[in-house]
Amino acid sequence: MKHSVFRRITLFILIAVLVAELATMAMAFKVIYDLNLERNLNSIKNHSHTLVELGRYYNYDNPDSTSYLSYTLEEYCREANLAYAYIEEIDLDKSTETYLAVGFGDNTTEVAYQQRYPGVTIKGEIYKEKLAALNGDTEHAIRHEVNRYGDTLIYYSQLDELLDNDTGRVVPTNRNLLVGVEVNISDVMFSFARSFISVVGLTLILAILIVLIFSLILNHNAAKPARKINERISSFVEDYSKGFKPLEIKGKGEFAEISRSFNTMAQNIDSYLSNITALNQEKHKRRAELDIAGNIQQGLLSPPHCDGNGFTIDACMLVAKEVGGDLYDYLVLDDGRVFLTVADVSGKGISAALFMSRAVTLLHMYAQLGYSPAKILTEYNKTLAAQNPNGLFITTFVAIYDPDSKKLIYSNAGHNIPYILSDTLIPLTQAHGMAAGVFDDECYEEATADFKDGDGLFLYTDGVNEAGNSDEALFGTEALEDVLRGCLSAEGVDIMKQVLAQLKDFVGDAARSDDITMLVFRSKSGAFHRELNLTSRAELLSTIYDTIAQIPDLSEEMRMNLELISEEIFINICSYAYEDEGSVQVIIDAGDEATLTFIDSGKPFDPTREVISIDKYNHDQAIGGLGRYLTMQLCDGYSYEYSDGKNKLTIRKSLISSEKR
Amino acid sequence: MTVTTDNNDKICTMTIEGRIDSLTSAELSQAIAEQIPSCNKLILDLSGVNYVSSAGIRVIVAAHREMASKEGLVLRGLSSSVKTIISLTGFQKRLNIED
Repeated sequence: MKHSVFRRITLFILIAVLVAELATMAMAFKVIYDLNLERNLNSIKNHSHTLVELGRYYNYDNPDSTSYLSYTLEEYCREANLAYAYIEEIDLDKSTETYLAVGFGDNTTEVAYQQRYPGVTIKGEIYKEKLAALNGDTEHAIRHEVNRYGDTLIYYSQLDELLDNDTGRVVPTNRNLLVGVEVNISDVMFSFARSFISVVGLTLILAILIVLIFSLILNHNAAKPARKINERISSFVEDYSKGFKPLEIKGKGEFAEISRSFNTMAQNIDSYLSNITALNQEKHKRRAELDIAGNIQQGLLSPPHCDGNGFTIDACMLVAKEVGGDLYDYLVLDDGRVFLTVADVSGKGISAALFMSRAVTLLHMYAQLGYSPAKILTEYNKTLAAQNPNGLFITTFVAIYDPDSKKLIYSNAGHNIPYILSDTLIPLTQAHGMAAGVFDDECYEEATADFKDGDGLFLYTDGVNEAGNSDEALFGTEALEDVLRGCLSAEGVDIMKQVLAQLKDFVGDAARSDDITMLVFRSKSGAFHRELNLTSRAELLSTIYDTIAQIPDLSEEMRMNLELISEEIFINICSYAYEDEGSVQVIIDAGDEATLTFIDSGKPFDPTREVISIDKYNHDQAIGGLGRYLTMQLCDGYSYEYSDGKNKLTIRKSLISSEKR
Repeated sequence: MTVTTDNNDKICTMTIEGRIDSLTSAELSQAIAEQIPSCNKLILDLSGVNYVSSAGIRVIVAAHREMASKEGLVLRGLSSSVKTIISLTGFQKRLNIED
């Protein structure tokens, strides 16, 4: 590993050891050197005193005497291992010094040897140490010279007394005589340095060895386990899928602790993962079950679109969760009346959904029994309240439309006020009782509203008007009424689309919190409706003609147009849809507009496509497609779809004649 | 639908009454086919016809083509509705229609 912390530690220790060792050695050298200096100083002081004692008894004017002294000094130097010793006379006035007697030792320096011998007079500045010695200042009479010739220590002392040959007594002298004793300490230090260097070398090698061993130990005990643990941690996910093996725990150190922690962590992760997996599976399962429940619930509802005899119904239910507490239902009763209902269970989720399924079943059943709206609600409430331990309630609006009397009879159990979409928006505020399911003795009333042909009825749940946006503002009934006023005569699907679009604009990103249910019932204007189930035989065209003839107030021109359209399409189906024969359903609706719908299960064929252009029509060729061309020219609109193995062609033709238009 | 035929010196007048639609066009087609060899000019009197579908137009256009090599086909007495239908097809430009 390039940036191993252990490598850095090793390097650091190595440097630290070296620095420490060098520092120690330097200190040791200094101490030893100082000691050596001190010892030599004491030694040359003693020698100096001895020589002063000795020097008194010589006659410095007699050359024999000084020669002998030189010899004696030389002997002394060899004996005492001094560099050299001498006696000189200083002439302070002339600033000269004259060597009177000089003795060299074995380890004298060459310069000293060459320059100083008896009788030599040197002119120059007198060393201040010499002057100090002449003044009796012994403290400063020592000179330490370190130069390229060596490291020398020189001590000067005054020869203040001399032997008076006449009296034979030692008397003070007025001559400036000095005894100089020089010792070379280089040699001493050199030998010390040699041994010193070998010691340093040895300890250095020792230190490097120790550090190397240390780094090996560190590598083995720290770096390697750390690497191993790191590898296992970094490949944990990969290893985990292959089945986790715990880390080997060696010893009791920190790495054993880390390994143990890692194993514990891995086990914890393992168990967490298992838990999460189990939870996820459980969640998926529950989700799937809820989805099925949701499907079953949607299945309890009537289809979202119904084209009835003289009316259409469009409905939608958007649930906030998988299952909801809203419902809508409708039923065409045997006598042609139409039962319509929308309801909303208090609460959401499974409890609401279960309650809803019971409610929708009861409503459907009571409607089938032919009960009036008030009776439906009264019975429904009684039955629900009898077995409702959790006290859920359900707001419900029930209406029955009678196409003969063109009346809408309705009853309301605490539900939102529905609207009739006529020339204006008419709220159905009458017969408003309490929500169903709680008090079993509640009697519901009913009210009647006029319902013209072409009018619509808009039923909804509070998921619409109480839809909230992120500012916690509600969509509100006024906004809903505004939307509805804008599409009083629109198709049911379009009304619901409008409302949903406005809701989406209003709600924005806020999560839908409640189920949204809407149902639009619209009676067809004119409301002529016939369904013919025919076989694809051309002679049955007359049946269609007969039916068209029944359309009230139909002008001759319109009748002919409708007949022509019917013939062209019906004959086309008879000729081409089936190999042999098949069924053709013809649905004829008529009001201000006639709608002819042809449904066959023959070969898929879209007659609205590739209709010939008459300009390009080649009159001299066989005239296929002419019928289709005529149809498209005569009608005011058409649509074609192929689904569930059926061709469905719808042709619209306005029945308001062109003169009237 | 009824067809009455009058052949006067190879000028053949067929008077048709009723509807010419998918159910009757075959009958008309056959009646015309029978007359064509024995006439130089064919006049179809449609004053009694108030309904023509594409099947009827096909028969008329086919007759027109057959007669093109002779003295042609004339349509007479068209009701407004029949005229409208023929106008929609654009064939009025080719067919010889008497006012």
